[in-house]
Amino acid sequence: MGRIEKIHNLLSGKDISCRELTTEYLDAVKRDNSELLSFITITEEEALLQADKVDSRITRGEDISLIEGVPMSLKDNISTRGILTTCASKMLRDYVPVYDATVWSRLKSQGAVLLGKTNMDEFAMGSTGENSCFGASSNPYDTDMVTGGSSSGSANAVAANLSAYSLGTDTGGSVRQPASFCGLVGLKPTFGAVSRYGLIAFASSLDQIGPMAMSVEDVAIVFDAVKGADPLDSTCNRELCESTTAHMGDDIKGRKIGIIRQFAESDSISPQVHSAVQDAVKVFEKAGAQVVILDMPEISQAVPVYYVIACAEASSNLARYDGIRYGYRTQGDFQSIHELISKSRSEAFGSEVKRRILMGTDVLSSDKCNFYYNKARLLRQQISRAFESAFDLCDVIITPTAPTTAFIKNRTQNDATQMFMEDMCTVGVNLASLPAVSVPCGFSQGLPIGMQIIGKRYDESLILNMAYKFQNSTDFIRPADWGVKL
Amino acid sequence: MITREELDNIATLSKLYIDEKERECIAEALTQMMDFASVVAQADVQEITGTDTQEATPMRQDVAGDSLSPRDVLCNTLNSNKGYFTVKKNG
Repeated sequence: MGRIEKIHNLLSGKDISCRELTTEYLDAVKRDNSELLSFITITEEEALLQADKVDSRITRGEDISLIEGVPMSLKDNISTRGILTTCASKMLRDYVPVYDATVWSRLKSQGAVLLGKTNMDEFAMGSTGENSCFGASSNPYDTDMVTGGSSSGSANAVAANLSAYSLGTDTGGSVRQPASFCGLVGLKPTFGAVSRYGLIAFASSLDQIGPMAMSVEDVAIVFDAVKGADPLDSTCNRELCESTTAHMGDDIKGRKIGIIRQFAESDSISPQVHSAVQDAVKVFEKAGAQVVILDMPEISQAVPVYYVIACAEASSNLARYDGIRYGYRTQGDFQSIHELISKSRSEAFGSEVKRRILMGTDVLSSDKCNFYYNKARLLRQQISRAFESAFDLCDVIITPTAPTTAFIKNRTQNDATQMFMEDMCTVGVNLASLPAVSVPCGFSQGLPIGMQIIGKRYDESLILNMAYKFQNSTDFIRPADWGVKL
Repeated sequence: MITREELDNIATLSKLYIDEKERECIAEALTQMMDFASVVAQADVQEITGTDTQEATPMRQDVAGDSLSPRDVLCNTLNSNKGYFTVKKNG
C-alpha cells in the first residue's frame, strides 16, 4: 500500500487528525532540515490551516479524496501565491508570486497540505543539487553524497519521510535522476500532459512538472490529480480523463521491451548499474514480456543536442530578469540602464546559470545560429523519429536512469561538461517529448540504482503499469531512516 | 580558446558583466562547452526535413479578460512611485 492510501486510511478512520499528522511532519522537517537542506521555505501556517479544513470535513462526516489531507511539497520553481518562490537563486530570493501555478491550484482545491517549497539547483540547471544559493541538499542514504538534481530537495524530502510526495520538474532528467539517486519513483510526463502555467521557465520546449513518491501507485495518484488540459497553457490541451491508476494491475504478458544497444554496450555506464538493469529486465521476462534489441545510433548525439537547445531557451527565458520589475537589483553605481541590468544579473546569478546563458546566447548569435541552434532542432527531430520507429517494434523502452549511483559532493570537475554526461540516459526522452518513469531496481554499496521505463506519448498508463508490476515483484523501495514513521 | 573580444561580445548580448577575476575561468568553461556542442555543428543534416511537431497550434476565442492589477504588478519591485517602476538616475 502506498503512503497516500495509508495516510488516507488513517485520516478517514480517525486514527489521527490531519492537524496531528501535519504537525508530526512539520516537527520532522524542522528537526532534519538543517542537515538535509530539503526545504527552502516551510509553510507551517498554510499547512495547519489546510489541515484544519480537512479535519472539519472529516468531523462533519464527509468523505475525503485520496489526496486530501496528505502532507506534500513543491519544488521552489513552482509558483505559489503569497509564498516565496526563489528558484534557489539570489535573483529571486525575495520574490513572492501573485498567482498559483495550475498544478498547485489543482492540488490545493483537492485538499493537499503544503509543507513547504523544496531546494533545487538554481533555475533547475544542474544534476547534483549543489547549485543552490541556499546550500547543497544531502542524500538521506549517505549525507556525504549528492541527491542528484535539479529536483534535489523534492527527492530527499520524500526519501527522508519529510513529505509524502513532491512535485519536481524535469527538463533533461531532473525528476528521474534524483529519484534514481534517492531510491524513489519519479515520473516525467509526456510534454503537454501537465500544465506548465506558473512553472518558472528554464527551457520551455523541454520542461515538465512530475511527481516523486515512494511508490508507483502514489506517483500515479498525483499524476491523475494534476494532469490534463489547461487553457492557461496552450501546449497542454488534451483532456486526459482516463484514470492512470485503473490500469496499473494489468497483465504485462506479451509486452515487448526495447533495449537500446548503444546504452547496453556503453562504458560510460557503471558495471553495477548495467547489472542491476539487466536483472530487472529478467524480472519482466519472467512475467511474460519479450525483449527486443534496438539500434539507435542517433541517441549518441542527444546530450550535445539537448544542451544547445536547453541553453538557447534558457538564455531567452532568463532575459526577463533585469532587476527592475522584480528580482535582485544591484546596489552599486551604474552609468546606464544596460549597466544596471548587467550588474544586477551578474551579482545574482550563480556560475552554472551564467555559463548556460552565455552558451545559449552564443549558439543563437547570428554567425553561429545556423550551425548550432538550427541544426540542433533538426537533429532533435531525427532523435524523435528514431524513438517513433523504435516504438513500432516495442511497447516500452528500458534503460538505466543514470550512468552511476549518487556520487560524493564537491567532486572535482576539470571540465565544465563532465556533468553533462550524467544526463546521457534521460535527455533523449525530453527531446522526443515522451513520458518516462524511474523506479528503483537495485543497490550498490548501499546507494540506490534506478531503472527508466520510457513510453509512447501519453502512454503513462503503460509505463506505470510496468513499473508497478516490477515494484510488486521486488523489494528495492526502502525508506531511509529519517523523518516521520507511519 | 574563445578570445577576449568574443567573450565580451557574448557577455554584452547576454546582459552579463564578466569580472576580471572570473574571466579566465568563464572563457575556459565556455570553450569547453562549445567544443562539446561542436558535434552538432559538424553533423550532416541534409537528409533531415522539418522541425515541426504533429500537433496543430490550438486556437481559442480572442476574449479580453482581467489583467494583473497595478498593485500586483508592482509588489515585487524594490522601487516604485505613483504606479511606475523607478530606477535611480545615473550620475
